[in-house]
Order: sequence, then C-alpha cells, then structure tokens
Amino acid sequence: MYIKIFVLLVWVLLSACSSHKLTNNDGITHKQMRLTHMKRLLNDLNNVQYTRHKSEIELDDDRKRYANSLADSLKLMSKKTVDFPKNDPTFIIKSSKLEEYNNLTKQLYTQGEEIENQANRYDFESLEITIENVKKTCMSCHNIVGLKHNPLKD
Amino acid sequence: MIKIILLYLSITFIFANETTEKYKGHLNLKMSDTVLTVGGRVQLDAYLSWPEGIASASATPLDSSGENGGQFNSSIKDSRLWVKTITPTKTGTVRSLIEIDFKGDIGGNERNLNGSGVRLRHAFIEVNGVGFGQTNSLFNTFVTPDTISIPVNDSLVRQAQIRYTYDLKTYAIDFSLEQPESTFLDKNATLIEAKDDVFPDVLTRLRYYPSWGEAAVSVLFRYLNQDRAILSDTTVLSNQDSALGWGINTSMKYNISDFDDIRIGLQYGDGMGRYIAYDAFGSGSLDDNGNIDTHVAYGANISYLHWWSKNYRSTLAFTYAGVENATLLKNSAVNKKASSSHLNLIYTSVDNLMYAMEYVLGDRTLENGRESDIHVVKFTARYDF
Repeated sequence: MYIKIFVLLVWVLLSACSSHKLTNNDGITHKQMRLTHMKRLLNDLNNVQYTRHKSEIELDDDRKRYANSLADSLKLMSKKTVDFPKNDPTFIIKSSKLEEYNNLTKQLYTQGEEIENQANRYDFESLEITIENVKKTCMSCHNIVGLKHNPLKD
Repeated sequence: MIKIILLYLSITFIFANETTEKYKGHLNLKMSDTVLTVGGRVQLDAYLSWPEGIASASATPLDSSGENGGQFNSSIKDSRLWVKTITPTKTGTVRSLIEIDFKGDIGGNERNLNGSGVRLRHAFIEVNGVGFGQTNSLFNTFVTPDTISIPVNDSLVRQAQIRYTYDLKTYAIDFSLEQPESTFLDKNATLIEAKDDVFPDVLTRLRYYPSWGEAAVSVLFRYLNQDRAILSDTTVLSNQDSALGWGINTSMKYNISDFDDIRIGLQYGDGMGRYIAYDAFGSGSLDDNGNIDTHVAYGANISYLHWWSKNYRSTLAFTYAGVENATLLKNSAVNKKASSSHLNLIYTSVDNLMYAMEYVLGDRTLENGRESDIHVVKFTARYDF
C-alpha cells in the first residue's frame, strides 16, 4: 500500500512538471479574474458525457450547473472590466476605442444572462452557440487593447 | 409575381435554416412544447486478461491453472440508447428519461451471432425536484475515478425510487426511498436473497460544489429482514430476524493546476451489502438459527487525473474494498478483500469520439486465505451521438 501511495505522489510531481501552460500572459489584471475557473468550466462542459455512473438527467443537471457558474463568472468579469480604464493604471486603451470597449463589456454581461437562461431551460444546443459568441466577444475586446490571442481558446 | 415567389422562397429558406440550426439533433413535438431528444453511444470494449476474467471484488479469478496464456474478449454490450423529453409546464419543467443498454442476458454466445439482450437502465421522471422511477441510487459514488474499468470499491446500484432534490447554487441535498433487497451469506458461504423486505431503503445525499472541486456525502439506512428464509441447501429457517444496516459514502474532487484533479472516495458501513463492490460481501450472514450478523464493509479509492493536452488525459488510480465477515464464515470461500490499480490514456476528439487504453492490476483474497492476481489490458472505442 505504501508503495502505491509513493507511486501516486511521484506521478503527481512528474505530471506537474509536464503540465501544459493554459494560462495566458497578457499582462492585464483580469487574467487572474476567474479565467482559469472559466477554462475549467468549459472543459467540464465539453467532457461531461464521460462522467461515469450518471444518467442523462444527472448529466443535464451538471451541464446546467457548470453553465450557471460560467454565467456568474462572465457577469462578474463584465462588471470588473468596465472599470479597468478608470481603476487600472496598467490598462491602456485608445480613447477612440473606449465606446466600443464599453459596449463589448455590456455584451459580455448580456451573454452571461443568455447562458443562464438557456441553462435553466436545458437548451444546451443554443448554449453552445452562445459560448462561441462569448469567445468572439473576448477576442474582439482583446483586439481593441492590442492583444491578438483568444483568452478562452481551448 | 416572380419577385413575390422569389421573396417567399428566400424567407422560407432563411427560416428553414434557422429552425434546422436551433433544433439540430432534436425532434420537436409540435403538438406540445415537448422537446424529445434521442441519443446514445456505440461502444466497443476489447480486453486481454491474464488469467481469463475481470478485476472485481467478486470475480477476479482465483485459479490461473491452464489459463496463463490469458484470453482476448471483445463486446459491444455497453452501447446505449436513450430517449429523453423536456416539457415546460405551468408547474415547472418536466423531464423524463428512458435508457437501455445491451447487457441483458439472452443466452447468446460468441460462436456465431453474438446476440445481446436489451436491458433497462433508467426510466425516470423529474419535475420541480421530485423524481420517481428507476435510476441511480443516491448512494452511488458521486465523484468516480476517470477509469474505463470498474474500481473494486465501486458503488453502483440502479433501482426504483422516489426522490426529492433541493438544489441551491453551491449545495444540493437529495432524499430518497429506494427499492430494498437484503442479501445474506449463509453457512454454506452462498449469497442468498431473503425476499422478506418490508421497508424501503432510506437515503440522503449532500452535494457541495465549491470553486476548488466537488464533494458529496451519502448516508444510507436499511432494514434488513429475514422471515423463514430458505438457505442454499434448501433448509427453511424457522424464525424471523431483522437488523439495521447503514453506510456512508464520501467522495470528492480537488482541482489542481488548470485542469488536473485528485479524486478521493471512502465508504464505510455495517450491513451496506450490495451498495458496495457489486454485492461482493453480502449485507450480513445467517447462522443455523436464522440470526442476522451484519458485516462491516469498507472501501477507498484515490486517483489523479492529468490532462496531457486538450485531447489527451490519463488517470492513475488505486482502489480497495474489504469486509469483516462473521465468525461462522472464517475459513470459508467468501470474499474478504480486493484491490485494483489502473493506469490509462484516453483520447477524446471534439466530435464525441473517444479512444482509451487501460492497464489494470487486480487482486482478490478469500476468507480462507486463497488469493490471486489478474492483469488486464483494455481498449475502448466509443462514439456518443
């Protein structure tokens, strides 16, 4: 038994060394803002069908829960990002892009609400489309501030 | 006129596309608001084992004489088909599910046609947190290791039940009354079903969904009863006896790094019986006078899931299950303990296709001291539709 526990610990340490880097280095404050949590939620949503011992009804409940959590994170992010130009001195945006930026943060909030509604209706097909739209919103916003990568890219 | 026709066709085309996209994969029942979805999976399992068999607390083979070369087996019996409906009503959303697989026993063989029988898995309806029908027991392990073979301490029971769920965002609590079924080991070390149950099993489960992972605790109470039960040697007992069985099943997933996690499960109880290790141990035993002596059973599992990339993941898992059998079963050929170690590599594509390879080392020990190991290499290909 002790050997098994030792092997498990070695496995954990070795895999930590080889862990792929999924966090970004965009240098803005909101990279710490539940981004890892949201990526995990998206991964959980994509792989929920491989959960053992759960019926389709239970899997739908899991999808609903992950989606609601994602919606909460998006709405929170929207509220935080709208204040970046005022509160974060490291955040630089051209004044001509400010209105577009504000619209995108509002759009993010609306999409969060949309995800919440779709999840509560168990409308997961529409949910997939909305999540793709969220990724586009994130990409558009990053383009405005001069970042070329998609923060929620798989 | 031609313009009007073209305009009509354009509008029809646009709306047809929109409808097709929205209800892709759905059959929309026009007579009501019900959305009916058909899905399932096609799965091939192929495994090579030394000696022939599988790794489980009740079936790991004990005698490998003549079977050292192992045996190759393959099957599609874990393929599934389900139909579910979602209907919004004034009182809430009604959800129903019927699911089958192909593990039903129809006496088919591997010589010619490999026939498999259809077997019901779930037939369940849920509305506003109240559910009834046949589905997973609340005692089932909530967070399971990501293995393709079954851990020896697995808790998996599907049965008829009435359930109530109170669901909050980060907590959920479930209550259920479920189909009882008392199983006992008799003096001949044979598992018998008394068929004298008088009260449903009572279960509750608390689920917790924090940002660091998931956790659940299930508690089980059951009324074990035998009333002039018939033993395996056809002896009819002349008395009635009953006992309280209970069990606790805890499991949790702790997220580490971006996607990796550690999963831990612990089970302990007196008279848990069929709720752990696929009834390898029995709820208790019956002596010559028909008295019930409940068995303490326990199990544990720990696993680590690592994502190598977006599509590849691996799990290393250790599982263990054991029981304290009654004195009259000492030196008998009844299960005492078992363990299994799993290492796998799983590939999943974005289009619901999965390929998995797993190595399992299992062992089982009987009360009389006999023990054996098994090595299994299993391959699974699965498509979810």
